[in-house]
Amino acid sequence: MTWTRMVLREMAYSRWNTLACMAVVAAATALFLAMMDIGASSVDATRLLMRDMGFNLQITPAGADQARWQALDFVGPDMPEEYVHRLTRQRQIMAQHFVGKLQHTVQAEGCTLVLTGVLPETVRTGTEKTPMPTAYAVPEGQVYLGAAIARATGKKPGDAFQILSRTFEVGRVLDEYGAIPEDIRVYARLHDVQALLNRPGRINSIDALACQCPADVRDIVGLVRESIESVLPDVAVQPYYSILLARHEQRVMMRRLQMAALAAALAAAAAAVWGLTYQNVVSRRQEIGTLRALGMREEMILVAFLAKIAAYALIGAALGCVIGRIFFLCSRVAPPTTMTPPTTIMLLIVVTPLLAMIFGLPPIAGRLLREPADTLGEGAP
Amino acid sequence: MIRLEQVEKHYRRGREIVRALDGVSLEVPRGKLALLRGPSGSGKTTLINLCAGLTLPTRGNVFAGQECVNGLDGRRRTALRAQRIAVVFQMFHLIPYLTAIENVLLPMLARRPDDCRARALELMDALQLRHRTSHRPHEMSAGERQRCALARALLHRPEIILADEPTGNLDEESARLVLDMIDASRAEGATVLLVSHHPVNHICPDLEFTLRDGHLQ
Repeated sequence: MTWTRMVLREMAYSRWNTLACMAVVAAATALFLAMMDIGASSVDATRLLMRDMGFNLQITPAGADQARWQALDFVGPDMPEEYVHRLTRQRQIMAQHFVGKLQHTVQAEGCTLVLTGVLPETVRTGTEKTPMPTAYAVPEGQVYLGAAIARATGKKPGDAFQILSRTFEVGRVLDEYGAIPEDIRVYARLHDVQALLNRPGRINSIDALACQCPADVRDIVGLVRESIESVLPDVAVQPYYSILLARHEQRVMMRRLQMAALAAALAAAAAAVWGLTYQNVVSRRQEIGTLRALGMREEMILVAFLAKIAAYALIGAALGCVIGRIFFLCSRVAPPTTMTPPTTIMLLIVVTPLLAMIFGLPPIAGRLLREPADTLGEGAP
Repeated sequence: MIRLEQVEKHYRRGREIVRALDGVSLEVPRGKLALLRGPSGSGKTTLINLCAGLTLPTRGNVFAGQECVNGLDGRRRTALRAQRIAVVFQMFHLIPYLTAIENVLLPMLARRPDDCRARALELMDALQLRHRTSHRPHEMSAGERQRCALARALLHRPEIILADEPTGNLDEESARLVLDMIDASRAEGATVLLVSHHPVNHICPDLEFTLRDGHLQ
């Protein structure tokens, strides 16, 4: 006769209780993992959606007249193209994607357009990011036309497009943005535009995407501005407030939603395991008393009960992880681009029995702390 | 030897204090069998529980051999039961998911893993349970279950046997087998305190006590 044998026999005997406990743990683990998967993939999906809304910061020389910029007159101070590379080398700044621009309003092909020379997008050193859809790497000698310009001039890909003294080939016609100046921009390679405007090595703005925002900070704009201006003191950081704050709020909300769902799953599991263990302990009250009357130490009885909990919780957790992943993949709540990594799943399978034992401990300990005669139900009262 | 000195056991039930035992003193010398009689609710089971250290007295002292049971901490009281005391309950208290032989071998869990299987089979033979070794309690009659509980109690050759109405639910044949086995243990030197409110025909006790309303008559 061994304790292991006794635990296994009891599990087989009270199989409905064992199965109910296992099902509860499996359901809780499945819910937990599905919530983690849904949370991670939703955060990722909405991050990409928000990112695709476009850059949320514009960095200009400190003396740039914002009123003239709003009037699409980009005359004013400029800054070295090297500033873009200086930003990308800084790990502490709260932005990751950068596109250096030299823009100037010109007349061409009978239209007023914003000639925009762009550097290919760069990302901060040490990060790997997919390119922004609104950042264009324009080949040398080509231009990308904003939708309004293409409509006004009737140009299409392959046509020639004359700007000042140079003829470019139309490489792309961009989708309609629905706003000025985006729809009246003509994009070209930065160095082509610098040569055309006779401003070599100069840019007059950097578009950036602030996306390293701590979720619990309210003054996100101030922090972003401070982190960039500490690297480039002679620039002004102009946030596109609505995009920046929407992105930040969305992240905070998604994290809170995920935390709330995880906490709810954990609380439900704790209550269920506690209840089922309590029911099991109550139904085995006389057994506990008998074991104590036979001289079994309290800690051995405790270990026997906890071993049972650990056994069913381990099986339940493993089952739950499989069910949770299948549920997530079938739910189509969010594309499965980012899911809980295998190491976290392994950790979940290990931690679940520990948590189940903690939740199951109070009813068992409560019974063991009472006098054996009381537990046994023999004698008055 | 079992000795109680001015033992009181009070329970609180709401605002009421229940005096289950009130100033009880008795002694059962080593190797003797004492019969404790009394009507239901007189405190017999409480007295057995006190002797086994399953509960503690409100006042007074309980001795099992030279050990003052209520002076020991919980761990040592548990060890005392594991090594020297056996309790036989009226309601058997067999573990429902274990077979008869496993129930008999259950006390092994509290001690070093000696091979007690031969002793268990010997006891089951003596109690006419050999054919029931692989049966679970619900597959056995009341008499067989009580004999199984007795075999479990005697497995480790206890010095003190506390039997609480061991024949209360049994037919005459089963009662005779149980009492004969208890008597044989006394013959081997065990001290026995046997509780019964029924007449006991098959054995001759060395001492008799009667409890009434928590007082020894």
